[in-house]
Amino acid sequence: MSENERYEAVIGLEVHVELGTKTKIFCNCPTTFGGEPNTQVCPVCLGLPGVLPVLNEKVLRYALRAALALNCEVARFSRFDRKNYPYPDLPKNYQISQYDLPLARNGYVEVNGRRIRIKRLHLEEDAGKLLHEGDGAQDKWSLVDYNRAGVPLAEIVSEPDIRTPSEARAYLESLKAILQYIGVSDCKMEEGSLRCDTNVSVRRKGETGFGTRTELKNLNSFKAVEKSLEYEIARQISVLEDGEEVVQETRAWDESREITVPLRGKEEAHDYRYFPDPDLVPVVVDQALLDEIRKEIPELPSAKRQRFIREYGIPEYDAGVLTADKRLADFFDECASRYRDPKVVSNWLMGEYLKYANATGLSFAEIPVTPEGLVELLNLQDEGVISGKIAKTVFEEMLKTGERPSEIVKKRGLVQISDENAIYAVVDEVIASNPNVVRDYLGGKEKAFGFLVGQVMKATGGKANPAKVNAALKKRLGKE
Amino acid sequence: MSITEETVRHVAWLARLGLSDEEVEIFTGQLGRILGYVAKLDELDTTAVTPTFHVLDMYNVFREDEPRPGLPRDEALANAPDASLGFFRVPRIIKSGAPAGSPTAEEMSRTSSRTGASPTGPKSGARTGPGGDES
Ligand SMILES: [Zn+2]
Repeated sequence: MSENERYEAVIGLEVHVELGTKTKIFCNCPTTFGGEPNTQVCPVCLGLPGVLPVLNEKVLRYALRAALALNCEVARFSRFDRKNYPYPDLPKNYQISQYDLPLARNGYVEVNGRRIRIKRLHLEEDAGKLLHEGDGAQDKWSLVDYNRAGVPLAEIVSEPDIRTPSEARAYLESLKAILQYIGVSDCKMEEGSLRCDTNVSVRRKGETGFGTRTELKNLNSFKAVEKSLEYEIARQISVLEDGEEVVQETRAWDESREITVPLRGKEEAHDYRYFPDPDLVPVVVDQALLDEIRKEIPELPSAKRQRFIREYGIPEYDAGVLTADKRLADFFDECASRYRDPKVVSNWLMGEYLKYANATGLSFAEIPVTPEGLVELLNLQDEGVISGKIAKTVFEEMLKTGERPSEIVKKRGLVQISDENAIYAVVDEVIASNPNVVRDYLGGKEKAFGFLVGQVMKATGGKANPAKVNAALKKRLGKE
Repeated sequence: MSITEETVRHVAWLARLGLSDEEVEIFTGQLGRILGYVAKLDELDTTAVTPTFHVLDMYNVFREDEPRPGLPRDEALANAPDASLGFFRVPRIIKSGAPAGSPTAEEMSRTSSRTGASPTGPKSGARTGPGGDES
């Protein structure tokens, strides 16, 4: 792809995150997801006449936490503005947002050693949800649910510092991890609590100006963000290579066809007639408040990653995987601090544990196994009570039930057989019933030995101590 | 600042007001006179005056994050011109000249993966949030 190598992409992301407060940004309606339509509404979020919105203090504190965690400069003075546009999901025909005096600016996120700058972070209210009855021309109606209207959003806009689709994804993953760590949002893209639009243009390498950009929408997963950018960058390059010009437009990602398509209709220039919302008083943030908020911020993913490498001596790759989620990181931290070999813990978590989570689709919170349980399991293995193979069986059970490993071992009779007499008895039986294999082995076929070990393990239900089985077999076959 | 007919038509469109040619002419004159009157303030030297951000000398008025029940649904829908299945019902917005069924830019800008179950099985449309002009 030599023609692609002559170009580079310039990408910026606009992310909307729902803040996880109990109530909406300007009224006391609950924000719970999935309620019956229009059962979480009140005169304020329905935009009825004569009501007064009042800012939820928790929303401000969460947004400040996010701003500090994203290394932003917090504005001492900010205010809310009305962004005017008529659309049925906006009951007031305007959205309360922040325009020229956003809560925070000039932050950054470190992504794989590169600094992606954040242009601004501001607060706004979410809109309601529109459902269209059917898709045909005869369907004249839309249904509106205002439960989501007024749910607090933080909009986080990056500078166009991102250069590749995978970097865009990595930026999103970092952002998500940070916001989850500080506990301000659950960032579930599938529930819409994290949404992302991208802006992308291409230019010849070495150029410093920007090409004409397109905006991509309908990105419903991190994978969609990455794939749509890959497609769009290739498309823009081929347009330029054909001697044509990229049209500035909004395009939608078509998930099933894996292409971007222009959205129909000529785009009108945005004209929102922003003006300060007279219903809301300004927000003043002083140093005392910032100091207080700063204390609420826990160790962030990058710091945790460094510490894991330093304190526990695990590889950088492991540290990256383990710190991508706070719960997983805390789980590892607890195990590693009380078990002799942190790398073994990492292997179990990155292997069996993540495999189980991926296969079942369960979140870490839903998996009942505890750090104490895993450490106990590893100790049982170290003490020779169970074999490595049995440990995996026990862990499978623990993942499902959360039961203590010692209980499972006892209940299911999984204690390792280390008794020499018992092992020799099985070994003799296996040798007697596999004369051909024994002959092969004695004739120099090393592989045959593994088969014999397997037979002993099989006969004991995997419970025989493998080291002792090896020793017993070798002794009996005269190859000690 | 002088007001042109074009400005009046644009602002009327933004506010979704349908004005006749006659009304456009009337409002062009009226709005021009109002702005001319206020323009008197431009004669004042305000270089040393802090801008007023809000008419009240107040800031940081907050509310506790405590959920309280809002309106019962039948009350919430009581004044709606039309309702169906617990939803407000509005005319579907389809831009002229475009094939029905394909999304408009406006609609798509509101599309998110948030799924919404609906008794009639309509497709979920929700927004990604506005913006796009800042970055
Ligand atoms: Zn409300």
